[in-house]
Amino acid sequence: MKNKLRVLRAERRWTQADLGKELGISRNSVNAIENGKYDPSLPLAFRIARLFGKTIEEVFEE
Amino acid sequence: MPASRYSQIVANLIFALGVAYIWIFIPPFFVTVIFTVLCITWSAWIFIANFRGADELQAASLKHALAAASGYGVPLTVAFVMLMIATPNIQQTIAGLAALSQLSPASAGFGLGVSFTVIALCSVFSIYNSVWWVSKR
Repeated sequence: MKNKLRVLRAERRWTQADLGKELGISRNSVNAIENGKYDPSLPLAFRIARLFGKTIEEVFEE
Repeated sequence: MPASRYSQIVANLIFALGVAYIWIFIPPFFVTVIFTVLCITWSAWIFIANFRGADELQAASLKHALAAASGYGVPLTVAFVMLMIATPNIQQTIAGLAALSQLSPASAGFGLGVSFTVIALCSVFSIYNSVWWVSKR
């Protein structure tokens, strides 16, 4: 699944570790999600969208 | 500290090779104990990932491998146990092994059944866990 997580993170000048801390997940997980290697659970997808003030559809796409 | 892709795969390989080495070469007892403690420690450390959250990679890989172990390993084990019960040649082999070990055929059959079950489940778990790390990272 593609997503705009890397772009959204870069806009805020956050590192993967910073984003992981905000979301309560490890940097490894952030990296895997950004690269489309791991699809987050629905609760985490909601947390990500809420953190960036977007809807899930705006962050993730098929 | 999260485990990397390679450390997971290498650990699975070390476990498989270590068990094979212990079975084939029968090293001193303390070597078996140390190896077993290392295996349990690693498993416990990975299992703790479940408590760090469902979106941790180790937790996701564990779920995938456990699903495969129950989905493929259990039917495979049941099929082989049924085969063992239904095939006279296998029963004779078990009876022969039991006589060699001075055990009753029932005890030998039970021991072999448990051993096969554990091997089948662990093998499926290790293979699918390794494949997950190769494909998802």
